[in-house]
Amino acid sequence: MNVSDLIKSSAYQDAQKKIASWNEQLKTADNKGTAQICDEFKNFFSQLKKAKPQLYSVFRGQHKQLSEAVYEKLSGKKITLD
Amino acid sequence: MDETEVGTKLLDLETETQAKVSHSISLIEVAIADWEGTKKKPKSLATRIDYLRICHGMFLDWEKKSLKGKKDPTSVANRLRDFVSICQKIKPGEHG
Amino acid sequence: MGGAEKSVDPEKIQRAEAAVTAATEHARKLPFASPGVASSVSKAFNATLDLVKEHGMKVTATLLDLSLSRSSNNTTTSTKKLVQLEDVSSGHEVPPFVMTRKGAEEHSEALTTEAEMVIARNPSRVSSELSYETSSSDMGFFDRNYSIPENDPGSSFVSRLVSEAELVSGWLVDSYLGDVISDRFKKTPPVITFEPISFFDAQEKAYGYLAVGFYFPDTNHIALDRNLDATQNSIADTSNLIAHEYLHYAAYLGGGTEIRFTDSEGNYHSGENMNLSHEGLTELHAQNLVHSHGMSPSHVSYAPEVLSISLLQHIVGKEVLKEAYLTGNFTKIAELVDEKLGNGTFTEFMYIFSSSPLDALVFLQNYGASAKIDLSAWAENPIVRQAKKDLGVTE
Repeated sequence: MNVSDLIKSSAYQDAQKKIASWNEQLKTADNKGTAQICDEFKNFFSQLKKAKPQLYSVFRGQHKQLSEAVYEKLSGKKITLD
Repeated sequence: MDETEVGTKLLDLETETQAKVSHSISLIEVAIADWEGTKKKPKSLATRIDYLRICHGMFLDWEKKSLKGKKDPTSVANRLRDFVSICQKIKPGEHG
Repeated sequence: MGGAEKSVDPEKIQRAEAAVTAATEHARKLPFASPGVASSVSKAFNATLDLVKEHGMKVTATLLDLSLSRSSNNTTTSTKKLVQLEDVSSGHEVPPFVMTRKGAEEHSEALTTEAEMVIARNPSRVSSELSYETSSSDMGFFDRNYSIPENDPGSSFVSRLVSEAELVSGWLVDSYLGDVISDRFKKTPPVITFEPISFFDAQEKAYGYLAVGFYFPDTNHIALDRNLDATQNSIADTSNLIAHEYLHYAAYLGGGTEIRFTDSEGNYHSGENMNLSHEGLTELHAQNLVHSHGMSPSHVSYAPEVLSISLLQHIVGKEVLKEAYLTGNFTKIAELVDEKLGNGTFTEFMYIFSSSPLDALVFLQNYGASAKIDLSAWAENPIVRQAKKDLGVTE
C-alpha cells in the first residue's frame, strides 16, 4: 500500500476523526472529563495496537500527544513521553 | 504607565500571591500530617486529602519558580498567568 | 492501657480547603484572569503579554504603547513593527529545576505517587492486569549522574545503558550542538534515572500511554526504562533512544521546544500545535546521529513524523534544519521552502502536519514534484526506507 492509499483508507480516516475529537474535548474538559477521555483513547489505541500494529504505529505520535495533554491538565506540568 | 510602574505593580501582585500560596501550603501540610499520623482514616475524607495533595504539589512548584525566578516584568507576569491557570485547574467544588 | 484512638481532625482539612479557596479567589481577581476585564490597565497587560508570548520579546513601555494602539485601526501596522523587532528568544541558560541524582530519584518517586493518586481518584480505571512484577526497592547507587540500584536483576542491563549514555553524550560535542547549547549542556548536564516497569506502568494507567523514556521540561531529568536489555533491543536501538532523550534536553536549552517562524507575508506563527513536528525532528536527528556513528537502529519511532520531516530536510539541507530544530527559529526554513515551492507552502505544511503528518508528507511530495525537485536521494535514505518499512508502506 502506498501512503496516499493509506491516508484515504476508512480505518485511517476513522482514527483521525476520533483523535481530532479527543483533542477538541480535552481543551475544555474538567478533571473527571479528562480522565474519561483518557480511558477512551487508551482503550482505542490498545485494541488498535493488538489488531493492527502497523496502523497503530501511524498514530503513535498522536497517541502520546493526547497523553501529554492529559498529563498537563491533571498535573499542571509539561512532560515529554517517548 | 511607564515601565517601572508596570514592574512594581506586577511585583506587588506576585508578593501578594506568594503569601496566599504559602499560607495554603502550611495549612495543607498540617492537614496531611494529621491524616498520616492517624490510623483510622475515614473513606469520606480520603478524596479531600487527595485533592489537597494535588493542590500542595502545584502550589509548591509554583512557589519554587516564583521565589527563584527572574524579577523582570515579563517573567513575573508569566508566573502570575501560570498561577491563574493552576487555580482554574484545581477549582474547588469539582473534587471530593 | 491507653485512651481513645486518635481520629482525623476534619477542621484541619476544612481550614486547608478554605485557604485553597481563598487563593483561587485571589487568582480570579488578577488582571490576567479574563481577557474581557474592563480596566485599561488589565487590557494593556493582557494585550502586551499576548504580544510578548507571540514574539518572545520583553515587556517595555514601547510595547505597551504599541499594544494599546492595537485596539484602534493600527493592528496590522503594530504587528508588523513588532515582527521586525529582533527575536530575543534564546532558550534556557539553566532549567528552573536543576536536579542532582538524588533530586531526580525523589522526583521519580513523587511522580509515581502523583500517578497513583490520579489512579486512586478513578477506581474504575485500575486494571487487575499488571504486565510485570514490581521490582525490589533500590539499595545503593554508583557515584555518577545515573541512578542504578544494586541487588536488582536489571542492574547488569543498566550498566550497559550507562555506558551507552556516556557514549552518546560524547557525540554531542561543540561542533554538533553549537557553542551556546554545548556550554549550557556541559554546565547543567542531564541526569538519567533508570526506572522499574512499575514507574512506567503507573504513568500509563494514569495518563494513557506506555512510554520507555521521559524528558521532564524545565528540568534536566531524563527517565529511562531499566528493562531495555540487549536481548530485546540492540545497542543501536538503545543508543537511539538515549540520543533522542538527550536531544529533547538540548533543544529545550536552545529554545527548540518553542517552534516559531515569520512567513514570507510577514506573519508570525508559533504555538503548541507544533509539538508533533518537534517529535519528528527529535527522532530524525537522533537517527541521523546514530547513523553517522556507524549504527543502524532496527526501527524508526514516530515514523510518519520522521518521513515528513526528512523530506523537509531533503529540501532545505541537514545543517540548516538542525540549527532550526535546536533553536526553534524556523524563519530560514520557511524562506527556503517558500523560495523553492511557492509562497505560503511552509505555513500550510506546518498547519497540515499539526493534524496529520502523513497528509503533510503527501502535500510536500506533490509540491516537490511540481517544482521538479529530485526526490530519489530522499527515497534512498536508509532512515526513510526503515520508516516506510515500519509503517508497511511502499512509497
